[in-house]
Amino acid sequence: MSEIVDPDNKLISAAQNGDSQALEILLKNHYEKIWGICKRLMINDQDALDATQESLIAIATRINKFERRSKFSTWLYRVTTNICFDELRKKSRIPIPDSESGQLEISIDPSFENQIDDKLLINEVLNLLPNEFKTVLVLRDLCDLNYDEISEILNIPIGTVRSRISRGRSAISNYLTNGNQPDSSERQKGNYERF
Amino acid sequence: MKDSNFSIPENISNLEELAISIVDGEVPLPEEPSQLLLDHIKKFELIKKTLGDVDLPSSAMSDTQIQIAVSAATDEVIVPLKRNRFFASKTTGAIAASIALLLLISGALMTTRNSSKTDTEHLASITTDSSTVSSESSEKVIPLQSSMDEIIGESAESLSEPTESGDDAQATGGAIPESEIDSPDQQNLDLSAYETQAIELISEVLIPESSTYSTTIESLPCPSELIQSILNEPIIHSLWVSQDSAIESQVIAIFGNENLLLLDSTNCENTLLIEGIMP
Repeated sequence: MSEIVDPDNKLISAAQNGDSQALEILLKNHYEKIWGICKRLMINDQDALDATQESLIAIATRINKFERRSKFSTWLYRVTTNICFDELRKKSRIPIPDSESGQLEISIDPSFENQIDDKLLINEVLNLLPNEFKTVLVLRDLCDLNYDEISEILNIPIGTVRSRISRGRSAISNYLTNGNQPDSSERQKGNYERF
Repeated sequence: MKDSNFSIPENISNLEELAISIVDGEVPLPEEPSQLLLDHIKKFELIKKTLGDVDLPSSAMSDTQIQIAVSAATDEVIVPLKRNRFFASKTTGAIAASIALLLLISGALMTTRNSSKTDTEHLASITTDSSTVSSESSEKVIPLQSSMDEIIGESAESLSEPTESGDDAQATGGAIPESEIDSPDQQNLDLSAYETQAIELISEVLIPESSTYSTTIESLPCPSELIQSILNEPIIHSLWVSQDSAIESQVIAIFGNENLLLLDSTNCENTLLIEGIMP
C-alpha cells in the first residue's frame, strides 16, 4: 500500500525520530478533535479528560508504529475511539442523566431551533444514542470525516456508516421536535426498533 | 440513560435521506426545493453544527495533558497520581513523590503526636537494657557528652564517649537516671518542632558518605530496647537533629528501616514516632 500524502508528514517523521517538539505540535494540532471525540463519547467531563489523556499518551508512545497506511488523523481517531470504547467497556457504564428522574427533561418547544441551540440538551440527547450510532455521528459531524474514513476507522461497511448516520440524525431530530413520535405522513417504511 | 420516548428509526424517509445527503454535501440542493425538504435540511444542519461544537477544556489543562503525553513518550517514566492522571516527567514525579511523602509524614505526625504519650507510658515498663548499634561517624559528630553536659549536667556522666572513627563501634546505651524519667516537674519538649529538621536528615542517612552529620550516635541516652520497642524495628541510624545550639541537641532522630523516631534525650518518655517514611 502506498504512503498517504499527509499534511502532518514532516511533523510525524520528526516525532518518530524522537523530536519531542514535533510530537508536541502534532498533539496540539489534533487535541481539539481528540477531546471532542472523548467528550462526546464519554458522557461526563471527567471521564472525557481521562480518555483524552490516555489517548494522547497512546498516540505519543505508539507514534513509531504509525506506518502511514492512512492519514495520521485517521489513525489518531481510531486510537482515540478505541480507547473510549475500552473505557466504556471497563466502566460498563450506562449513561446517567443529570436529572434525578432518570428521564430527560425536554420540553417540546414548537421552535426546533430554540431547542437545538441548547448544547446541553443536545449532549444529553446524544447520550441516548447507542455507541455505534453516536460514534459515527461524532466522527462525521465533529471530525468532518467522510464515510470512507469512518468506515476505515470503525472497520464497518460504508453502507452501515451511511445508515447509522442517517438513522442517528433522524432519531435526534424526531426526538427534539416531537418527542420521537413518528410522523406517519412521511414515514412510509416507518418501522421502529425501540431500545 | 434510557428514555422510553427515544428510539432509533429502522428506516428513514426519502426526504430525510435527501436532506442528510445535501447537508453532507453529497447532493446539491434542488433548484426548487419543497418547504418540507428545507425544514429537514435546517434541522440536520443544526444537529450537525451542534454536535461538532464542543467546548474545550482550559488551555492550561490541554497543555498539561499534552506535556504529560510527550513526557510519557520521551522519559518513559510515568507516575500515576489519581484516576488515570500521570506526571509529566521524572522531575515532576519526583517532586510529587516528595510532596506526597511530606503529606504522609504530616499525617503520621498528627497521629503519633496524640498517641506517643500513651505509647511511652506503656513502654516505660519495659526493662532497660543495652544493645548494639552499628555506627559510622565523621568529624562532625556532636560530642555527645559535652552537649549533654550542657543540657542535663550530671546525667551526662552516664553516657559513653563518642568515637571518631566509629567503624563497627559497639555503643552501649547507658541506663537512664531516674531523675530524667520520673521527674514530675519536667516539661516535655515539643518534638514536633523538630519534624522538618529530622525529615531533612533522611538524606544524610541515605547517603552517609556525603553526610555532614554523623550517621550514628555512639551512646544513646535511652535504653536501646526501649527505643527499638517504640520504633517497632531495629535501630539503623541515629542523629542529633540539630547542632546549632545546646538545647536543640536534646533531640535525637532515630531511623529504622521504615520508621523515624524523635527522642528527647533528656526524657526518654518523650518520643514522637513517624511511621513509614523511609523509602
